[in-house]
Amino acid sequence: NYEWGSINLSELMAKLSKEGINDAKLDNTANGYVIHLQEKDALIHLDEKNTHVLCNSDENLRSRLRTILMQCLKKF
Amino acid sequence: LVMKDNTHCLMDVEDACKEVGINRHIIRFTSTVYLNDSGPPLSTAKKLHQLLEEKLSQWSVTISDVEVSVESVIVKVEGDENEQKSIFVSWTNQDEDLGSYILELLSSMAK
Repeated sequence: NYEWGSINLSELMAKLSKEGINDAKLDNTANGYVIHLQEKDALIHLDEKNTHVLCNSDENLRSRLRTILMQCLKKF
Repeated sequence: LVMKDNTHCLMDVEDACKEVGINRHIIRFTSTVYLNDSGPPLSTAKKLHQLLEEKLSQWSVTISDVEVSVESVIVKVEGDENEQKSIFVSWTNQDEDLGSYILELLSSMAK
């Protein structure tokens, strides 16, 4: 499967909140956005065509973020 | 596999996206593992290369300086000559199984 389209930021922030991640801080970057999950010290960099999730080896968090991000995109 | 005008053809995924008029979105993950290994990062990278070649014998595992690669998975070693090295394991969503396997393997070594 391949993902396509772009991520709706409001949808993503709402899904993070629903997952109990309530300290997500959103900032602009040169090309898009960065979301800092402060307690977990994880980052999500987003632009039109790319999303990059950076975290320490918290596999549980990474897996949850993966599920959320895939829900925000279409697939073929 | 792309179907167009009742014919099929094989395209690579980037061309297929252009053909259909959609923008591919790439999700990438980078997780960090901390490993105790004395010596320069290059020596740690060589050990990891050897380990992954052994564990993933059906894949092509390459090394370039302090980076070991297999498919879209990149394992990069950083740190100085002291004990602890930071190992950045990065992969795209299409290589989730391979990337998470490698991360799990390296994480279990770190314990």
